[in-house]
Amino acid sequence: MKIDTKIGSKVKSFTRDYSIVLALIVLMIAITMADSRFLRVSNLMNILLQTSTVAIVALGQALLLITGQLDLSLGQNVCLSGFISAYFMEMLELGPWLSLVIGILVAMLVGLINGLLTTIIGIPPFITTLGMQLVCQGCAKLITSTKTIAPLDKSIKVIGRGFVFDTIPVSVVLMIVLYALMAFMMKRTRMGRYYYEIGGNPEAAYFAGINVKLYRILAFVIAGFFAGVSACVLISRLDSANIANGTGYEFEAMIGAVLGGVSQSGGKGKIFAAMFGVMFSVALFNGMTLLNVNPFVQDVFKGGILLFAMGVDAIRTKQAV
Amino acid sequence: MNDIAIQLEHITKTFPGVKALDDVSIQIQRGTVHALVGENGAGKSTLIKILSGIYQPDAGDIYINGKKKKFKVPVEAQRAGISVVHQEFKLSETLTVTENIFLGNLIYTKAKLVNWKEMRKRAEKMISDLQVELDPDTIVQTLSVAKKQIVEICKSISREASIIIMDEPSATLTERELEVLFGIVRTLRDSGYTIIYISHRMDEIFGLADNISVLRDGCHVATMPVAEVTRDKLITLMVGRELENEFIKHNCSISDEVILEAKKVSRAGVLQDIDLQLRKGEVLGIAGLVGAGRTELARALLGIDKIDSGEVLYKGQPVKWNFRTAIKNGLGLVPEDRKRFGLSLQSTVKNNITLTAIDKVLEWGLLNLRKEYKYAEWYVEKLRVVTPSVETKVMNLSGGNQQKVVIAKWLMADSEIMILDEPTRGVDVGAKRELYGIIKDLIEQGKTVIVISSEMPELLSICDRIVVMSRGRLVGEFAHGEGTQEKILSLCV
Ligand SMILES: Nc1ncnc2c1ncn2[C@@H]1O[C@H](COP(=O)(O)OP(=O)(O)OP(=O)(O)O)[C@@H](O)[C@H]1O
Ligand SMILES: [Mg+2]
Repeated sequence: MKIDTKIGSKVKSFTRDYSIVLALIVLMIAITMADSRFLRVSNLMNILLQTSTVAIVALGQALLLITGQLDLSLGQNVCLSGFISAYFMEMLELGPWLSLVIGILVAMLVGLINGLLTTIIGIPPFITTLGMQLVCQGCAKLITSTKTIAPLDKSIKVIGRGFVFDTIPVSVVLMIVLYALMAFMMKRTRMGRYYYEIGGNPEAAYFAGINVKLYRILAFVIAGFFAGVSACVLISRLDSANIANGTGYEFEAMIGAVLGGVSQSGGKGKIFAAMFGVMFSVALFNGMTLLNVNPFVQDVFKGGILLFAMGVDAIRTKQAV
Repeated sequence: MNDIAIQLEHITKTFPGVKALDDVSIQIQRGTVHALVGENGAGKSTLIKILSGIYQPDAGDIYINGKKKKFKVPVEAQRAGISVVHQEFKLSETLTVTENIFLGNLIYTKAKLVNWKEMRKRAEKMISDLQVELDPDTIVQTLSVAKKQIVEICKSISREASIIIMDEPSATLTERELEVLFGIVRTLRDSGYTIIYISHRMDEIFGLADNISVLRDGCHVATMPVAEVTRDKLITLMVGRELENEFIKHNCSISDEVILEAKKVSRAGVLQDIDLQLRKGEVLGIAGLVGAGRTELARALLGIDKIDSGEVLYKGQPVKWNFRTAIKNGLGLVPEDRKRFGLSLQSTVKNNITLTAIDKVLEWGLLNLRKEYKYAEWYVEKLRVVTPSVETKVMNLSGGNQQKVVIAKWLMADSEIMILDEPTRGVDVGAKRELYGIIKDLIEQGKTVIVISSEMPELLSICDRIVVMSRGRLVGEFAHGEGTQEKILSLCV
């Protein structure tokens, strides 16, 4: 009754887990055929830079999706924590690096509050983080009465605009390092395993003696951390903290994660696939802009893609049961 | 041949890595109870799913009442008169019995309005035809599992099914409720229905079936009238080898040390003044009807539910623990509802088995995946879980094999006290015996075991002591050899 399908199943599971990479290649070929400017080094660099900030946020979103939750406040959290860092740096003239750390801590605090509200109080993550989205936005506006803080301290320039070996952007390296760490964490540590199992069946995880609530709260805090890091990269790249920073990141991160195959129903998904998912959507919209597609149409597309990816995932999970 | 209701010809079905059904040809006579038996993973459920249009066969034909049929979706099977009483009920909890019976199949008045009067009348008649007691106006939520099953059966009848398939209908019932179910099945058969009945319980098969078909590893081994086969022969046909006597009684030395004790434990509405002493090295059975508070007692001992009064002592010390600290202190629970509490269906066999005791495969704080794999394989082999590999998702395993995975999970945790809540539900005869053997091993290693079970013969043979629960109270206690099925049952009521 047993058939040895080890190698076959490995190939199969790779193509299933990383089908997004194939899709990305096909997309790039298609856009290039329509407009060869797409392949210019400057354009590709642009795509990579844009990918890096969203993809770092997507790490947190992917983790939350894997545990069966989500965070809609991540984008505004990026905005708020960026403002906090900029404020400490420029208005209070604290050390620039210390200011960045404070920004990240605030982002983690926001995550912690999200986690406590959903896990301990029991408000559904969707509602909690929707509310938190507004709270973050309001706080950011309060701090500066919507004025942009710019320019920022020169020393933090390296994060968003620096290069390693004069070729690879520091932020891209940072993104890849964070993804590698996270992927390793998910595959090789107890915590990572717990996250998959909590997402797969929280009740069974509880009955296996896992502190489900604690891990869920921690997931929000980790997502907050990544939002904070993304904010550092973003304000450094733009050399300013702006009220529009991070807008829509939570959705783009979700599109990326779900396109990459992270299931909205929890328990499934490969970390690196989320990065390629983000890259896919960034490349797609970059291509559309190159081809002069109306930006409003692009918005429709963005929403459409999210729904499409969610739909495919929903159908896939439904059949499996 | 007019009396053949179902004829299956050369049915084959393959899943990735598994041939679930291999050239199966079976004839089922109209107006009979036809039992389908076989080990876990033999292909019974798959065959049923093909018959009811959930799966399509890779090859082979289905004839219903002599006509060739191809079911692409479940509705087509329903139209051909085939109805399945699923083990997981598909009822709307907040509606009444009548509403559930006719849901999706409403009766209308001439004015095209829903005709509740007529439906209620028919529901009443259906219920009285089955000779059971059930008020058609009760909300389904409040019904016992057994009653819900009756609603499911009525639903099938109202759809004008002529063939009713029951996949392990008895797994969640207690002895008394079983009698009712048997009554219904016989009534149905006598009024001309054809019934396909899947079960792992020998008593049932011999008490109920007219004919038996045996599946083994996806192959049809034999079909015969029940009168032509003995119990032992049937088991041999199922497992393909001879088994020693059905139950193993271990004789062990129980120490005087009380390892776990409940003192006047109460919990509003479910438990009342429970006094219980568990001695190290014993196998304690808890008998009782569904709803008697057996699972609740286990939950209270493990700190899953808070108790209102009384105390729990572990090794002489009063404990106020939650479930996690209980586990850390060496208690373990194989829960009753495996799909809900025991397993993550979309995870692999390996990840499920190692979850509770994942610390065993940690090295320098990291998971040693190779070691983990070996652990999982070892348990899969020990419990004979039928699976293509340990990387297979649990949802692709047959019901009984899923149950084995839950047991493996807790064996790996190596608990001092193991509480098994209905551990043999849905498990085949061979595996049951393996489980009894495992309990014996545990005892020999100095562990202590509590078994909650609705299968009386099982408790009577493997337990050193049986306590009986009824309505949240302990109502009796028997040492091994003292109890009988009748004595225990009379206490249950
Ligand atoms: N959807 C599926 N995908 C892959 N394999 C499957 C699937 N469904 C069943 N199988 C495999 O087919 C075989 C037969 O399974 P089936 O559920 O029919 O067994 P069964 O006789 O009902 O067993 P049990 O008594 O444990 O319920 C098993 O080895 C099982 O792992
Ligand atoms: Mg089955």
